[in-house]
Amino acid sequence: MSVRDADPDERHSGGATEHTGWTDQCWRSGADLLVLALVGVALWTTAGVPGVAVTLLLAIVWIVLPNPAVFVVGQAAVAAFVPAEASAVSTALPAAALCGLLLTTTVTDSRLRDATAVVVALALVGTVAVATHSLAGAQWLTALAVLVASATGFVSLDLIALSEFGENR
Amino acid sequence: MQPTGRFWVLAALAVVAGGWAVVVGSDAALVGVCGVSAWLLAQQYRFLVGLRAVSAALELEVASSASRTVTEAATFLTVAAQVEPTHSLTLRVDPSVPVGAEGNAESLILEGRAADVRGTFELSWPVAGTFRFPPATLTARDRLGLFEQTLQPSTERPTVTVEPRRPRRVHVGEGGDPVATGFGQHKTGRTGRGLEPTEVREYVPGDALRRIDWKATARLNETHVREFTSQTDRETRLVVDHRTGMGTGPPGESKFAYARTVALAFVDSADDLSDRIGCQTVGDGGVTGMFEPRADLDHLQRIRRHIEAVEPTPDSDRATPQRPSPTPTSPARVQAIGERLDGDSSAFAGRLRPFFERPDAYVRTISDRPLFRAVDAAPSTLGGARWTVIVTDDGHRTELREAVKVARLRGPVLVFLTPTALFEPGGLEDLDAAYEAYVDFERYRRELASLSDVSAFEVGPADRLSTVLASAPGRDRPTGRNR
Repeated sequence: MSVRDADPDERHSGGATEHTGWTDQCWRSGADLLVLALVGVALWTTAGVPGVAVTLLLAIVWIVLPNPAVFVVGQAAVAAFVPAEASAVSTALPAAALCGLLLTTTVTDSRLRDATAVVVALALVGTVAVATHSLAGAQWLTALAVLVASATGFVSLDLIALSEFGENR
Repeated sequence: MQPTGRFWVLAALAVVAGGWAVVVGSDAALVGVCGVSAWLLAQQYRFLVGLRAVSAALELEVASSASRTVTEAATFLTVAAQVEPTHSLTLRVDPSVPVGAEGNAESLILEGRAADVRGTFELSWPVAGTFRFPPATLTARDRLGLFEQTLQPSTERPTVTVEPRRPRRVHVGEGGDPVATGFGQHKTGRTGRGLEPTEVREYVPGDALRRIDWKATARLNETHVREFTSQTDRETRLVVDHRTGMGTGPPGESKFAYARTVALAFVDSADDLSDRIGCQTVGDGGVTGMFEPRADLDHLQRIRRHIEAVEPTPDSDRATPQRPSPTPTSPARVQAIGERLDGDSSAFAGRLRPFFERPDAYVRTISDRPLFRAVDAAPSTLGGARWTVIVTDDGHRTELREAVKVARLRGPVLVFLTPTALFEPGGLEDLDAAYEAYVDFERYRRELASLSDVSAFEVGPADRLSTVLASAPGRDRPTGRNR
């Protein structure tokens, strides 16, 4: 298997191949549990006991899925369990707490590294979403704008890497 | 930058989250697509920043333990990578091995903020040539395995020159002194009629009138004749010994390797001078190759290929177990002892008498030896100069002496001897003993050279020979030619 084709779940180490996957320790840290606790508190205050149950389910999901996936599942749960009549703050609180799962992916050696990049990216994409939603008022258009903006960002960074380091050999 | 499968899975997750938000019509669900998209962008940016840091700070060193080596020898490739641990990438250095090298250069991993890594790999070189190491590649991957980039850092690329195992400094000479000119160039040594003018001399009675050089006579006011030199087509019969003893010495620098060099030089010389050359190769079992004297290029090429292909007979291939060959007693000595025993009536003399009653025992013993048989069996030539060149060692002295005596009946004989003293493993550890052995060899060589129409030369490694000669304090070098 060539380097380029190597599956990221197979890491070569001194001749031995170490198999890792989505459950790899690099995906999770102790800080995730703290974040999940905050999510639980936020959901408990807004959704009551079902919110706590949802948090427990999220914790189980966290064991087998990476943080971004838990984040998405958590957002779906917030949308499903927080009552529609709840205040914007009540909805935003667990959603914001779930964003902590995205920040903790930058924790290495018990230190939060480059969290600024995640925060800035969230701010940029959030601004695009809010601006599009406030202008167009259509959810599909908002989702599309976010995806297009993200794809543009991806291509831009890829071109920068290409100009600096050349083609991936 | 190469996104991995993990990246695309999470990108798909963002799309699904967006689709789900549209389906359920919930603004809160849009946070999912925003969060995952932003997170992926942030990871990509972090990878790019880390890549810049690694590219700027990486110090990669690729070094070879030797720039020159010989085939089948081992060298060591050392790869060292050093980088400031200010990144969170996993780095893998893949050293590359030239096509001419054999060996496994495994990848080196810099993971978990490691600052340096070093690996040493053994390589062998089965093929001769000059080989430059291909550049090592560096593969960087982010900690979560979302992106990958392969780089070729600028680093020195060592070159290894692999030379075939063969004699390096071939000494051909007598008593440690190299021969002044290359062997093989030959003239008849006689002046007279021919094609190339050599000198003008005064006319003496008996010179043919047509040889008078009238211009020289007019110029010098005396009758002069011009001498011409003539060249002949010499027929060379090469006898190359490749018996077990010729395998003595380090690989590629054995007695036979040196003998082969001399033999090939004669073939090349015959090629240059369009001489006819024949060849016999002699192994422990007898003649292993026979080429009748001819001068065409195909024939010379066949001889070259045969000499290059033939190897000393391995010990296991010997027809009979190896044992020191007894030195036969010469017929004259047998006869003298027999006469003395005839007058002795003691029991001891009676016991010995049968051993000296067969004066042909010497001949019978010698005639069974392969080198003697090969030389003796060579057909006589009809006219023209015929040289016999014997390339062997000093391991079968009596046999060689008798073979030379037989060969010189057909013309001049050149003998090239590889001294065992210079080739024995560990032979130079005791320089005094090596010197004594060499002096003994030199005595034998002189004995051969003292025979009429015989020239004997030593062939061997010049450096080892000079070591033996230089490390004999208080002793005279066995110099001086016995000619």
